[in-house]
Parts: sequence; C-alpha cells; structure tokens
Amino acid sequence: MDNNSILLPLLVFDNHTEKALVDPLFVVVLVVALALFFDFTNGFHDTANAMATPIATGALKPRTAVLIAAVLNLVGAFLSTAVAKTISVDLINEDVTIKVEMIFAGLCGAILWNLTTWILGLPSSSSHALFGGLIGAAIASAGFDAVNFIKVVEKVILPSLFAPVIAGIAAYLATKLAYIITARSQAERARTGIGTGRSRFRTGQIFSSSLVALSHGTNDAQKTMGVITLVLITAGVLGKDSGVPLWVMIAAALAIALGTYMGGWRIIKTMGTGLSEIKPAQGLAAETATGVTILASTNLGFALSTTQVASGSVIGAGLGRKGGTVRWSKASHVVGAWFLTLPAAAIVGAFAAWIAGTGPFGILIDAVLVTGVIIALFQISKRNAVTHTNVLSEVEGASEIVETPAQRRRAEKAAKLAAKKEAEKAAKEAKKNKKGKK
Amino acid sequence: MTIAWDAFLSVVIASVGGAAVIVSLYSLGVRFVTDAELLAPKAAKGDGSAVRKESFFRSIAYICFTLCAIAVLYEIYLIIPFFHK
Repeated sequence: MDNNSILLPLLVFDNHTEKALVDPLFVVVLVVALALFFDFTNGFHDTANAMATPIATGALKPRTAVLIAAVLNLVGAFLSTAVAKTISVDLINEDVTIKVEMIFAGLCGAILWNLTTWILGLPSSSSHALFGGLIGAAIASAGFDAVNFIKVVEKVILPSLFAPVIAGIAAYLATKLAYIITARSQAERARTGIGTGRSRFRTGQIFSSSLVALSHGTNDAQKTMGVITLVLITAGVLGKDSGVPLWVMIAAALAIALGTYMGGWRIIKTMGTGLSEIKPAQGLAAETATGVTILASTNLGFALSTTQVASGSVIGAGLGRKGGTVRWSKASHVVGAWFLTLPAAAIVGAFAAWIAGTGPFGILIDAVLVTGVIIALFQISKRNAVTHTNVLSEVEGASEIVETPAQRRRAEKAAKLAAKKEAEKAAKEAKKNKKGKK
Repeated sequence: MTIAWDAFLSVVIASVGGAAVIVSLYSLGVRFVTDAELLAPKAAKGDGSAVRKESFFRSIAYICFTLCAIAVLYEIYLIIPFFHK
C-alpha cells in the first residue's frame, strides 16, 4: 500500500474500508482537462466546416478567415448556456447518485471513439461521441435508471434526426429563391457581359460562413461547459441545478477558439485542392441555413452535431440548383455513420466505466489509454502530410452526395469515350484474328 | 413527461423562414446591384433616365443588404438570454 501512495500521491487511504481511493478532486481536475482537450479538438476539426468555402473561393485570405472563425467561436460560446444546461441538468437522472469517475469514464469513451475514428478516417460526430460516452458510462456504472431517456430522445436523438433535414429543406428553399430572384439580372449580365451578377454571392459568403462559426461556438462549446459543470455538481463543488460558472465559460470558449485557430492551418496548407462543385449562391444559402438552424436549436437546448447540420444544408443546396440529383449509395454511407456513432461511443464509454469501476488503477488505465490514443494521433498527423483526402471536411464529403448536371455529363462523356475505345480495340482484335486465319 | 413538439415546430419555422428571408434579401441586393451595373454604361453617356434609374436600383440594393444584416442580427439577438430577462 505504501508503494501505491508513492506511485500515486493522489490516492487516499480509507481507514474504514482499507481500500485505496482516488481523491475525487483529482478526478475532477482530470475531467476538466480532458473536457477542454475535447473542446480543442472539436474546434480543430470543425474549422473547415465554416471557412473552407470562403478560402477556396478566394473571398477571404486564409489567415483572416481562420482568425474570424476563432474569434466568432469565442464570442458564440458566451451567447447562450441552454445546451450546457441540457448536459449538466437534463441527461442524467438527479435521484441516482453518480460519481465523478463515471463522468471521467464517459469522457474517456468519447475521446477514444472520436480520435480512433479520426485516425482511421471514418466519419463520426464529436457531439454524438460525447453523448454516447456519457450515456454508456452512466448505464454501466449506475444502471439504466441513471439516464433520463426521455430527455435524451427529446434533446439529443430527435434533434440529431430532424436538424439536418430541416437545414436541408431550408438550404434547398433558399437556393431556389436565390436563383429565381437573380435569374433575370444574371441572364442580362450574360448577354451584355456587364456587371458582377451572382459572383457577388462570394462576398456574402464571408458573412454566412461567419454565421456558421458563431453558431458553432453557441452549440459546441456549450457541450464542454455542460460536462465540466456536471462534474463540478457531482463533486459537490457546485449546488444542484446551478448555472455554468464564468471561469468554465471562459476556459471552454478559449479552448474552442484556440482549436479553431490551430485547425485552420490544415486548411491553409491544402488551399485550392478541394474545390467542390458548390456555386457561391449555393454556398451562401447552405451556410445561412446551417447557421440559422444551429442558432434556433441552441436556443432550445438541442445539442446537435454541427457537422451533420452543415452536411444536410450542403445536400439541400445541391438539390436546389437545377439538375442536382442524389447519389443514394454515398448518402446512405454518410447517414449510416451518423447512426453508428452514438451507440458505438456508448459501448466504449461503458467499457471505460467498467475499467474505472475496478478502482484507482482502473482510472489510471483509462487515462493511459486516452493519452496513448492522443500520442498516436499526434504521431500520425506528423508523419502524414496534409493532403486533399484527409483534410476534406465531412461536409465536403456530403457535398459529393449530390451530383450536378456537369458532373453527370462528364461521367457520360467518359463512359462514351471508354466504350468507343473498347469498340475500336475489339475491331482491331477481329482484324488481327482474320489475318491470322489467312 | 411528453416531448415538446411545439419546440421542434419553432425550430422549423425559425430555420426555414430565417434562411429564406436572409437569402432572399441578399439575393435581391445582388439583383439590384447587377441591374444598376447594367445601366452604368448608359448613365456614363449622360442618359438622364439611366442615371436616375441606376442610383434608384443601387439604393434599393443597399436597403436590401441592410435589411439582410438586420435579419441576421435579429436571429442572433433572439437566442441571447441576456436580452430576454
């Protein structure tokens, strides 16, 4: 036992049970650190969602775009605390006694799932990973009663199903409107060659992508604040039902802003490689729909995946332009990954909770696992140069779900050419055979 | 406890309506700016009615852009609890 306390000075020796316990405050500090790290990766991961388009179209200089995104995420984090309340008050049943270890395990599960999928290049949602991890850990350590399932359905599951669809419809309609309203002047411009026409939407995209960055801060930074507040309430540092302390708001806001800023360098490195087929008018419509949908959801405490909402918008905007069609196989691939994240992270969270439940060393094992994955990610990101394929945001991936007429024509042309070549080859082959027979 | 469906309805209205209004206002701005630009060569030649029309279209465009900005700020204003105490 003496050995243990040397190894882990934060272990407390309990005289009654003769068991080593971990100082709860130590776990609280761990949770705060992990939650802030999670927040940082979220910002890092999602910069591209907001700022890839204005950078790609040249509407903003990369440095400026990334700085704007970081500042707006910071500002957004202070705007509302509804989503934080959803996590700190609504998700876990109050009458069940939960432990700080459980929250720690849930967070470990979320980070493990999130970073592993990231390393493997699988689409995932950090928000759903977080909820899944927490829910899984709660069930594993305190049974099914620990989770307030009605609230989970109302504030997490249903919004995650509806919000991308709502954003998609909003983007579809907005795109249609944008094209109808500008149709006449655009035609006139094409005839005379005078005026800026629809390219002016490019300038508008500076503002619409700023709106996306702001709304991202209002929803995603809240999740970290919620987890930290939850652990503080659980540890008894804060009273039940208390709001988010100011220092937590500041810390979460800074973490997501810093992550956004750092993540921006990835986009800058790949400048001009991942141009999608999205026109400025569509981009403006999609981003506005994304921003507005996230803001409206935040207001009601709906914790949703901002990436999924942005993907829904991009698909809606793609279909809103004449001739856009859905590639259903790609769509089902993306949507399937959405459904998988929450239960998968729940299983990992439950597993982490089971490990943590075995005692102080369990917590140590969890911490080592998470650190290991973080180091692995760091090594891999250092080794692999950033390329078009691994920097592509999931939203851009979603944009490939919609096929534009131009793409279709190109594909048909290529197919025709291939068929022609095939025919020529066959004809040559036949000639040769004839000669051979002679 | 039942699920608050009216909350979802309000998200639908705020999202679809908000995006439609904001994008329409911006599009109208784009349209009128382009209309004004199309008239610019005529106006430069000293055509009086073209000059008037051009400045008229331009003002409408700026009004549209301003309204668009106000609509965006209003959507943000709606979610800040600080203003709704």
